Amino acid sequence: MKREEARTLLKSLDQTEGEARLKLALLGGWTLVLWGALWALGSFLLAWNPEVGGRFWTVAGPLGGLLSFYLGARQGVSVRTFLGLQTFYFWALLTLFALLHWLLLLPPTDLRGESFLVSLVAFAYAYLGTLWRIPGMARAGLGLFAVDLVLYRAFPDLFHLGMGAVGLWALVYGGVLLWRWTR
Amino acid sequence: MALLHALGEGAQAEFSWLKDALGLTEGNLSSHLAKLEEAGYVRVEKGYQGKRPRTWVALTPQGRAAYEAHRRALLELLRSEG
Repeated sequence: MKREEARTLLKSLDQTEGEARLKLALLGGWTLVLWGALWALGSFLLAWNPEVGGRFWTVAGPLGGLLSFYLGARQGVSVRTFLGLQTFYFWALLTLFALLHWLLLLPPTDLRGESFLVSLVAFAYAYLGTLWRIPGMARAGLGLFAVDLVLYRAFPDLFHLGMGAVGLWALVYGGVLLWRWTR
Repeated sequence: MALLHALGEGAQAEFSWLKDALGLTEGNLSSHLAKLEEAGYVRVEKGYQGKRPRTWVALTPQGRAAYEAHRRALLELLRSEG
């Protein structure tokens, strides 16, 4: 076998493995589409009218959470992996911790609470990127944390618009992945 | 095998999920799996989930070792000539 052939083959193996892990970690792209849409709409609503945005999240947050767990369970029927199970428990624990934190310590009714929520999501993606060995996902988590920090500290007036843009990016990227994996 | 390897040790994937993920036809995937099963690289199990018949595919320890050896050999080839 020639060197070029080996390089091409190795690249193709890495691509197949990486793509499979990304597909599973993002539940076939559905989580990005779902949360991208909710994140964009919810953030733009908060920028426009905090009261309306707050009401939107009261319904959309739990609904999005339930839908995500449904998607995870549905995937678990087709692919049984230890990593998938770990991811399921991780999200369940993170949701529980977030709920307890909001209810007892820091309700997400101001920018501080919202920023904390974003940092939790950023941590989740950075951690899951490491767990699934998807460097891009870990970088996205760290990037989201940086955006959260910069917006909160330097441009608090633009926080919701910035998060809306992040949501739109996730929606578009999720849509591209979904199209790639379902066509 | 790369796809099954990516799922981690002890993972099982459903036949139709594999078919979609690899973009293969049923017949094509069946024939690939038959060869891999014959070589002892994958384990194919048929069963039911509720009333639905399902076929599960998993990489055997032998298959995992063979895949990793193949990968290592490719890497060594690249290194030795580099």
